[in-house]
Amino acid sequence: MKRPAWWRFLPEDGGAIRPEDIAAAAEAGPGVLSRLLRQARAQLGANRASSLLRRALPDMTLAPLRPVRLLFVSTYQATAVSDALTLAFAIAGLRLQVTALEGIAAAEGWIGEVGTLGQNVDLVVLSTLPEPDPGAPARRSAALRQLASRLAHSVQAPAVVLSFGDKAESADRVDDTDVREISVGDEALGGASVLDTRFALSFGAIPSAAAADALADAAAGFAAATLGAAPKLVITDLDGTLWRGVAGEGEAADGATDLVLHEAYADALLRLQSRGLVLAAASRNDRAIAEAALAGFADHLGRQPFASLAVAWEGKAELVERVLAETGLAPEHTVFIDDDAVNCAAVAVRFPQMDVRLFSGDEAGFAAMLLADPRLAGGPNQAVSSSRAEQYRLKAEVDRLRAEEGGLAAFLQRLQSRVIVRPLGADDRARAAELARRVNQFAFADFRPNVTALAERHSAFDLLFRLEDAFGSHGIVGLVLARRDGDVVRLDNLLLSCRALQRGVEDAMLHALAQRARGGGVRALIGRIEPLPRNTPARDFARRLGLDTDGVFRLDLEDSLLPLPGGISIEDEKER
Amino acid sequence: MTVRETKALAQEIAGIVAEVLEQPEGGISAETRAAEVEAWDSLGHVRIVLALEAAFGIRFTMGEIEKGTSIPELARLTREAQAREG
Repeated sequence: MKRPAWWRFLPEDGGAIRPEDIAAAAEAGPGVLSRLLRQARAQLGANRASSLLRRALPDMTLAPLRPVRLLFVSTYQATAVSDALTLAFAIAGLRLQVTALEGIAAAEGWIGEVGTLGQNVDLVVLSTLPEPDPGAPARRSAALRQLASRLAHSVQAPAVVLSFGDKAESADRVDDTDVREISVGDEALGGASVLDTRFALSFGAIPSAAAADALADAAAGFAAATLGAAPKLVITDLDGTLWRGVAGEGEAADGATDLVLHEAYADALLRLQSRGLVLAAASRNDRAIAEAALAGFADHLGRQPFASLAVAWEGKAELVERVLAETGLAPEHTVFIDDDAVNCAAVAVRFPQMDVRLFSGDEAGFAAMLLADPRLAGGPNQAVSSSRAEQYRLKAEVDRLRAEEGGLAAFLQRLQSRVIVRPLGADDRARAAELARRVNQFAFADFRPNVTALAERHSAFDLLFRLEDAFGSHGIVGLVLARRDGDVVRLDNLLLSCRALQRGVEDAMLHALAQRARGGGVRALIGRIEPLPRNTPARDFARRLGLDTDGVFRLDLEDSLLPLPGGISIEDEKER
Repeated sequence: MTVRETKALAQEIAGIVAEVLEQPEGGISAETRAAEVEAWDSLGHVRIVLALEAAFGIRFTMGEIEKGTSIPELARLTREAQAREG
């Protein structure tokens, strides 16, 4: 029997996908919808699958998809890839609203019209096809990069230049500005050619169907990373997935020596970690046996890369739930991988938002698929992101202490948290922009400026916060964006990583802002808590402080500063 | 291929074309020509060709693409491509 593709947990039944199937999948959740749309694309091609999607969901605003406004600039007829884009964005959990411009001249004209007021774009994608003239790519690449930079500046949104086949610029290439260059590699094309010249009479050269899907996936992956909608956590099964065999069931005394590590898969996981994804494992086994087995592969992988290890004899969905609780990450930001179709199905039913993937028998192919997946390409600031697993492990230590202590006050006292604050400097902007994009649970507002927009603020009240405690350094965890307006300070946003929630850091951030504002002669702090889809923790915090969560709040600083919880100290650091 | 098989193929293709062009049920028949359907413009034609290639695992030549401007013609070209590509 043919083994199903990684997005299917049952063998193909040969039945046609119908609009009502897609509507039902959308009702179930974005993870379910994503897998069915992948199947539709593989079975029917992007054009037909996209038509099915439109028929199934005539009003896409009702689908469980996050809206994204894309400015798409192409050096070919953009309509030729519109179906591929719509579908790839839906697979990535995004509802595409696109403004398409064909040709560099059209984009230049658009900049002229928009000036610096264009606020209705979330990201910019420039897409180009290979040139027959060998000298042309370098020249055009420079011109496109310049154009992308100006577009990014004019709409204050990140931009990406997408091209094909230049191996020097792989999906891993990272730039620290608002313009990123991504080359779609041969791997994503599956041996197909990039260009389709058969429609030259009406359209000129256009991307082939495979190339259109690949570039659309790359654009959707970039969009997901930009909006903080890309996966942040990978949970892997162990027995049969990370290694061949079952730990504890070998003939050797420790049961571990019979296991064979799936090296390509293990390498892929480590690579994903270096891109900023947090690794965790969920396995039905004895914890001591699993840890011994991991220790047996210490030269390659070991226990260390895993921020959370849920190993017990509970159901797989319960183990996954435990990982989510330990890391504080959400199902919609999680990829779950297991070689057992039943486990995949159980987790998919319990978490319909989750990206669940069946580990295929072709280990190397599966590993290559993970690495080539643009949704797993990571954000633009990977140097910082790569330490994220360690930071989530520290969070798990903190959570253990929280469970041991009876009350919050005693817990905070034992933590000995130090919140270190510094004004946002030029070197901090990439990290701050990344934080603004990624944070969903503790955000006062949907104001998420990019590097360019941060540079233009010039506010002494834009502050970055680091956290250290008895367990070590948790790195940058918080960002305050505030600016002076006469004798008040307006708080545009306050963002705190979910790693640092419910331990008084949020109080310390507001306290530090208020302290600085009062020191500068400011009379009041004015802000607003926007009702966002997932910012309940931020709204709960505001309610606890007695701030108005339905409209604009005003904190008079002449009366008193906001209280600082016991056990937390605030230290100033110089701007970088 | 028998006459009945040819007719069935044309009807299957008509169904795919209707789906891709988002036409109401019965809007495309086994006899429909491109000129009779507003949505069957040059972009619609690209979408039809790519959908048929995905459905039947074939690849049309440039000449075939230019000729395939009706359902009967698309059925004939699909049959030829299937025979050619085994």
